[in-house]
Amino acid sequence: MLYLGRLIAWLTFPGVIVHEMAHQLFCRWLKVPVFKVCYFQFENPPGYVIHESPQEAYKNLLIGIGPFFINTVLGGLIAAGGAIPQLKFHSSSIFDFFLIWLGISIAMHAFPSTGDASTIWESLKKPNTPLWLKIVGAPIVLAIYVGSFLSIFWFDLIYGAAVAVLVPNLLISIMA
Amino acid sequence: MSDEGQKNGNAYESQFPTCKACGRIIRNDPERAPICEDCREKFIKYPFPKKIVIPSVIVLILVAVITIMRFPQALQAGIHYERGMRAMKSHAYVTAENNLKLALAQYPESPEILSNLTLAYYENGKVQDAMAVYDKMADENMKIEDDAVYQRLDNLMKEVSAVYNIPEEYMKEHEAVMALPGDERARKLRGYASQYPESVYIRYFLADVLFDLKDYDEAKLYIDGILQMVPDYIPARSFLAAIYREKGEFDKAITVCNDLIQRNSESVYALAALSRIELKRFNDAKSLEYMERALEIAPDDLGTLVDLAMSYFYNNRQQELTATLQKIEVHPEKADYQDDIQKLKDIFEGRLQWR
Repeated sequence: MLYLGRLIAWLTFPGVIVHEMAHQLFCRWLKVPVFKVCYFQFENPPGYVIHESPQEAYKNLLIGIGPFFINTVLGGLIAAGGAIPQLKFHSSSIFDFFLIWLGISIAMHAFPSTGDASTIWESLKKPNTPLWLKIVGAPIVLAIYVGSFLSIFWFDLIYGAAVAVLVPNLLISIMA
Repeated sequence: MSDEGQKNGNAYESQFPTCKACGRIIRNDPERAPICEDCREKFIKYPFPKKIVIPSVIVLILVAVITIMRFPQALQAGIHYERGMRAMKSHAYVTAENNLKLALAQYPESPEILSNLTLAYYENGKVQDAMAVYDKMADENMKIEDDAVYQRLDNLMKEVSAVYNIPEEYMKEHEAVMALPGDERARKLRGYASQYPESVYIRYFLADVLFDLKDYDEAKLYIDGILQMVPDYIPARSFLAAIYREKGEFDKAITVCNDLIQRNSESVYALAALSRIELKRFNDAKSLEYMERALEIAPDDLGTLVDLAMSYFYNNRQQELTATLQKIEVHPEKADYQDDIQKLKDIFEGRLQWR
């Protein structure tokens, strides 16, 4: 199971890279110093970003969940180009399969890791964190842990595939 | 994964804390990483390495090129397909046909589009077009994954087989039968109808001959028989409405037409049938309303233009009638409608008293 998990991580390496780049981008936007980035490695974890722990808890939250938005949107948009012809019309073009693979790879790495969750949790526990942020942040931390647990059942892959299918369907439904 | 990698402050603190990156003396702040402001700015702009940026940009350009080349047409086709499917669900088969044809232009090998287009064509009375599309699917061994669509296609094929199963013996005689005068033709066809009672084609043809001979009761007998064999056969239902109309049973005729409209809300043949019913009972303005609706749905359909011309004629709309007749004159399918166009001319020139 562990080997299979690693194999999936290797096969979907673009998603790991985008995930770490998203963390790094959010650090830059929120003016948080970054000390080291590993975009991909053949070990666990497959990628990481070492940055300063910001004083404001909301920055920790945004840095933690940033990849969720970036990977989801980017993965969905890339997959859409291939998913419409493939899923709706059974086109068998290699380009469509390439876009679907890339889109799913990116979207399936959207979920923050438990490491991200624990960093967010630590910042939420600080006494100077506003109450509203604790209320918003706690369910997010819980959702990350649940997502992490469900990844045993390939929830991340299911999520990636769902994004690849839902985004084009949503686009078409809105525009039709 | 993001980590709080630097432990802030104390471990690096001496009497004069220094920047961990450049060694410059800094102000002590246990809440922040021990780096000076210049280094902080540098670390905030931690660079994306070239070995990541260059391949990423190449892949993004590749994706962008593929997407720009393929996505707009895929999206357009997807939108037309979705509109077509929504129209199929609401039984608006002309809209469905138009949209599915547009989607098919982009993906001519899609079994999803082809199978639904077959159904739309058939519901719009375009049997030949439906069969051409169906044959393409059969020739290429296409698999239809939607069970409901598969079932509908199966029923359609059973119906087509029943309708177009023409006995060989009759086929040899068809031209000769066609050449006979009306009464003789009916007599000959009655013989074939009793010899081949399961032949929808012969019964329908006989009913048509009897209709022209104004023997509406016997024509209805044969149409009723056809509808027992193939209850959903649209031409037979339209024919039944015409028989009721000619018998003066307008309410029954309208009920049949309304059933057809419920089955296909954009049924131009049902609207044309309703228009003729109204003309027959001298509701000429109402007749024109129906034909104007039909024209909105299928502005290029020759059958619609012919019925519209008839309605314009009885509504004394000379200018519109002339324009419509001009359209009919140059229509590419004119040859297929010679009998109807001739009938129209006979009415206009007083050779035929239609009502």
